[in-house]
This record gives sequence, C-alpha cells and structure tokens, in this order.
Amino acid sequence: MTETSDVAAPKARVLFVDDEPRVLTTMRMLFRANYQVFTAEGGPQALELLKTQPIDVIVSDQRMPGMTGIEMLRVARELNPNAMRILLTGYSDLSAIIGSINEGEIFRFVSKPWANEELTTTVARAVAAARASEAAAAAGDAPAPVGPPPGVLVLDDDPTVPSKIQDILGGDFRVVGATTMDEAVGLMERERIGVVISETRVQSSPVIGLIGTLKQHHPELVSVILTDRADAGTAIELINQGQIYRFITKPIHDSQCKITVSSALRHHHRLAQSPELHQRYEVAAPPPTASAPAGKLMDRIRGLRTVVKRWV
Amino acid sequence: MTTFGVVQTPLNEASIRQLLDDIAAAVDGQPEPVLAAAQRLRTAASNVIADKKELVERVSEFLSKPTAELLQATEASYMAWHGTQVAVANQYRQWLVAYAAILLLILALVGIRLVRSFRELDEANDHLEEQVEERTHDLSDALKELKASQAQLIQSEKMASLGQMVAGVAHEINTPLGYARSNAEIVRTSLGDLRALVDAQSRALDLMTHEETDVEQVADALATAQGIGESLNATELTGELDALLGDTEHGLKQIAELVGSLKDFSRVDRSRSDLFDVNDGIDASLKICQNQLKHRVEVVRTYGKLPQIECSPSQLNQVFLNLINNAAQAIDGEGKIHIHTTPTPSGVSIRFLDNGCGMSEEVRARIFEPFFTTKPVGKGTGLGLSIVYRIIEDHGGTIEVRSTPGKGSEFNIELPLKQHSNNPARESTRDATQAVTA
Repeated sequence: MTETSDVAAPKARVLFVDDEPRVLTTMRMLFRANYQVFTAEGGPQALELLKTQPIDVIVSDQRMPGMTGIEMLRVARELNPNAMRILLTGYSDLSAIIGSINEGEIFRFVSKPWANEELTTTVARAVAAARASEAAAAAGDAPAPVGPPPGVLVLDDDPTVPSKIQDILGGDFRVVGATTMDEAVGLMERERIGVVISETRVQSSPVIGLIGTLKQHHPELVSVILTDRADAGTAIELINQGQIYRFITKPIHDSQCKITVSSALRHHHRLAQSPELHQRYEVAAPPPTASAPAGKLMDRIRGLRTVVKRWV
Repeated sequence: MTTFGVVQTPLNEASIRQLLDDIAAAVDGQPEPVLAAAQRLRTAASNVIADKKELVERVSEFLSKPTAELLQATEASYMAWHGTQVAVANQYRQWLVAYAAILLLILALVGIRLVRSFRELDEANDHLEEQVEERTHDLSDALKELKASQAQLIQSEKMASLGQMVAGVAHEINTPLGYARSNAEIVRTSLGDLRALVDAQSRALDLMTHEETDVEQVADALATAQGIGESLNATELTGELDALLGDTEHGLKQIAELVGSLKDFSRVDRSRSDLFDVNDGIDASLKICQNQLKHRVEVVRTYGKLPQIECSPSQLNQVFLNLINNAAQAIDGEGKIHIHTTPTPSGVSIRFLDNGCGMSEEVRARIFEPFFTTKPVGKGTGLGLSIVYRIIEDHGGTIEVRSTPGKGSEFNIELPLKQHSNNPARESTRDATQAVTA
C-alpha cells in the first residue's frame, strides 16, 4: 500500500493487487512514471484501499489465497463502479472466467507472463476510459428510454433458439433470428437492434470477428454469448476483442435469460445516451491470425453506422 | 370208560354211572381229600358224558345233509368265476402285446437316432481340431485387443493426470516468469537511459580533456550530462535496477526448481527397477501438486529413515501424486494431510491420512475397482485408484484403506525391499506398456 507519486498534476490512480510482492515491485517500477501507483498484497487489503481512495483502474491477479481476483473485483465493482477492471491470469478455469465476465464486468484479461508493452497499452486504454466516463457518471443517470425498445437479434445455427427466446421474453421484446452472419448483418440493416445474442460459432466459423467489428463501429450494440461450447480461451478472446456483455451457457434458463436480456437492453440504452461511456467497452485489435469476417461483410457493418445513428 | 368216546351211542353210560355211584359209596366216610377227589372224578365224568351226547347229535345232523347237490353248485360257481378270470387275463395279454409293440417301436426310433448321432459325432470329431484352432485364434485376438485397450486406458489416465499436473505447474511458473520477463524489459529500457547519461558524461569529459575546447562548450556538455543525471537519479536507479535483477534471479531460481521437480517426478532417466528413497518420491509429488494444496491444505510430513527400495520410481510417484490429489479433493475448504513413512523389517510402510469427507463402507469396498468413481462425469476417469492398486500389486506390496464418513480416510501402503525377479504381474504391465508404445 504505497503511494509512489507526489506530482502536482492529477495523475491517474492505478491499483495493483498480487500476492507475490515481487510482481508489485515490478509494477511500481513499470508504471510509476505515468500513474499514481497503489499496491495491495491481497483482496481484503485492496478493498480497504478502495474505500478511501478514488481508484481509476484495478489490475488484479486471479489466484490469491483467501480471496480470488474475481471475488475481489466483484466487490470492487460495487464499491467503485467507475474503476476499470483488468484481470491478470496465469491459468484459470472456465467457471472463474465466466464468473468474472458476468459479475465483474472485466475490461481485459491479461495472461501471465505479460509483455510490458501490452500491459501498459491496456492500462492506458483503461485509464482513458475511466477518465472519459467519470464525467458521464457525474452527469447522473440517463433519462428513461422512450418509444418501443430496440430489437434483440439472435444468431444461432439452431433455428429454434430465437423462438425459444421470444417465448421466454414475452411480448415486451421483439426477437429476430438469423442462422448466418450475412443474414444477421442484413437484419441489422433493416431493423433497429440493441442486443445481439450469439453462439460462439455459426456455420462452423467463429463469430468473434463479427462481434468485435460490431463493437468497434457500433459501441452502443450490446452482445451476449449464449453457447453450449464454453471454453476459457474463447471467453477471454470474446472479452478482449469483443467486449461481450454477458456469457451464458446452454441450456437456456428462463429467468437467467430474461434478466440478462433486460439488463443488456438497459445497458444498450445507457451506451446510446452517453457516448463518453463507449471507451469503457473499447475492444482490443484482434491478432493478425484471428479470422475476421470477409471484407464485404465488414464494409456492410461499417455502413450500419448511419442507420443506427438515425434511430438513436 | 376209555371205550366211551368211540362208540356212537355209548352203551356203557349206565355202567359208568353205576361205577361212579359205587365209588361215591366207597369213599363215603373217607377222609376229606378222598371225598373231594371222588367228587372231582364224578364231575369230570358227567362232563364227558354230556359232551359226548352233543357230539353225537352234531354228527348225526351233519350226516343227514345232502352233500352231492352242494358240491355241484360249488363246482358250477367255481367254473363261472374261472371263465371270467380267463377273459380278464386274455384282455391283459392283448394289452401287453400292444405295449410291447409300442416299446419296440420307440426302441427302434431311439436306435435310429443314436446311430445318426454317432455319425454326426464322427463328422464333428473330424472338424473339431479345425474349430478349436479357429476359436483359439479368435480368443487370442480378443485378448490382444483387450490388453491393448487396457494399456491405452492406463496411458490415458496417466496423460490426464499429467495434463492436470502440467497445467498446475505452468501456473506456478507463470508468476515468476511474469515478473522476471517484465523486470528484464525494464532493466533494458533503463539501460538505454543510463547509456544516454554515460554518453553525455563521456562527451563532457572528452571536451574537457581536449585542448582547443571552448569553456562554454564544456559547460554546455556538463550541464546536459548533469540534467540527464538529475532526471534519471542515477544512484537511486542503479540501486532499483539491482533490486529488480535480484528479484529476477529469485524468479528464475524458482522456475528452475519447479522444472527440476517435474524432472524428479517423471524420472524418465531412471530404469524400471532402481533403488529409490520413497521420501524423495513423496516430496517430488508434493511439489508437483503444490498449487492444489497451497493456502488450503496443510501437509504434515513425518518421515522415518527409510532403506532404499527396489522399484519403479516413476510408477510410485504416480501412486503418491494420485493419493495426495485424492486427499486434497476430499477436503472441502481447509484441511490437513498427514504423511507418515516408517521402515519395516521387510521394507517400508507409507500412510496417507486426510481429514476430508471420507467415504461410506459401500464406496470403500469398491474404491479400487476400475471405472468406479464418485466424481461427476468428466472429472475423473475412475481409473486412478485401480492403477494405484495395480502398481502396488506389481511391486509385490499391499494397499489398504480405512475411512469414516465425515472424518477422513487413511491409505496404508506396504512395499517390500526387493522385487522378485520373475513377477508375472509385473511382466503383464510391461507387455501392456509395450503394446502402447508399439
């Protein structure tokens, strides 16, 4: 718990949490030039610090004795919702990752061993997002949405999924279904869509490229992954490159699905009202090897902007 | 008196009566016993006379009956009875004949069948040799397949536990690797800054030692060098870099230890029957599953001074890892594992005790069965303990388990000092392993 900066200019405040003190030493050396660095050797200590200090970004290790990183970030989110959360993981099991997506709303997963450049870039992005959204948070809650809520697009190989979701959600929501990415983009061109519920793969190609491009060009769109092929690597990619809002697994549970979709729609409304928040959900560039949708599809996704803008 | 009986009509009755009267008269006045005897004689004689009278009456009655007619009637009735009996006998005879005929027929049929069976048997006998050969071939094929799949199962269980272990160790390595790598990058970047300082200082020095240099130029160069030095705070920085390099060294040492423990554990460089200290094996296994235990399970080791035993170290390590992992999994939350080793006259004794959830008697009884598992589908192959059992058996040792639900479990292993040179079970495992590698 050390303060390593006394420069007059308000430097961003970054908190590092790790049970290995040597990692904290490294972090202090790496970040002290640009940020006010705080460190904590465990979850409880970090939470104590959060109660007294307005922290902008939290970078936490996942595996720590007593309290895991995800558990700490979940509480941290309640204590300080504005702080951006980054999880440092060496080896994590799937349930921990899904838990952190859904309950901790993580900005990025950074894997151990990290590269300094990657970590500093990620922290810089998180700081920018925290700063930008501070103003939005200060401005208060967005006004209640007016008019009919935007539609929910379901992208799944199984054509029965959209109707199942429509049944669960009831008449208050409009659900449209697509079984290919082409069809999905076509639907988005014609309809006002706020939330995309998607499998991780459709027609045996991963949707990560589509989700990432959508988020990049239409940050107000909220994506939820509904899958029966949950694996940790995909989930991490979907957060880092797609900023998915929730990750839920099949079979579909009625109440969970309903709560997730209504919360996703509220989130969409918030994003549409306050563009300052978009930075909080900025996506990382996919690695060059990642499969991106074909160029033509990307152009169409970019073209969507005008359509969406008009409705918002 | 003696002639009385044979005469039909006794004529001497009167004389007998006279005689009796005479006797009575003669004895009158005689003493009492004579009187009594005379009286008895009189009574007996009168009885005989009376009986004779009745007999005579009966004989005359019998002789007066018509005997011939009666005889004829009896003969006729006998003849009639005889006739019916003969008829019945004849009927039976017919039935007997019919029965005999049927029996003969059946006998003939059985005979035919028997002959046919004998013929078939002869034919079958001719083919038997071929068939036996064929079946034996099928059976040995099936056995081979079974052996191969069993070996494959053992191998896949080994791979599964190895994978779990590697993932755990990878995590252990990632933390020191993370800061070591990051520190190296920081030191490199800082070296660039320090090089700029050194360059500026040496330039100033060069200028100072040069004869035709302007004082102003020297002052400029000195000021630059000083500026860089101040912004860098070189003394502090070098101290920090030194500390970072110290951390890096520590991290690398930790990594080296972890890799070393992996090597100790796998023991691929050791032969199958090596002299081995079991305590070392337990320590190597504990290091491997450290990440499962860390911060949660306390391990209390009570090691005795053990003789080295002849065994396959990698197989025994697999046993220890499996038992430690099971114990750790049985503990929900925090708990303790005790490991005791003691030398015995015939070898070593190893006990693993945990204060985990324990198991019921039904579970305990089946725990070494292949594919028996209490873990959810996909979490355990159900082969771990069956392989443990096999390995211990192959080593000529014994393994026992005691457990109390809710209290914990205890595994007790006894291992001999030496292996029998021709242990058939051991051979079978070797075959199986070879089948996989082939």
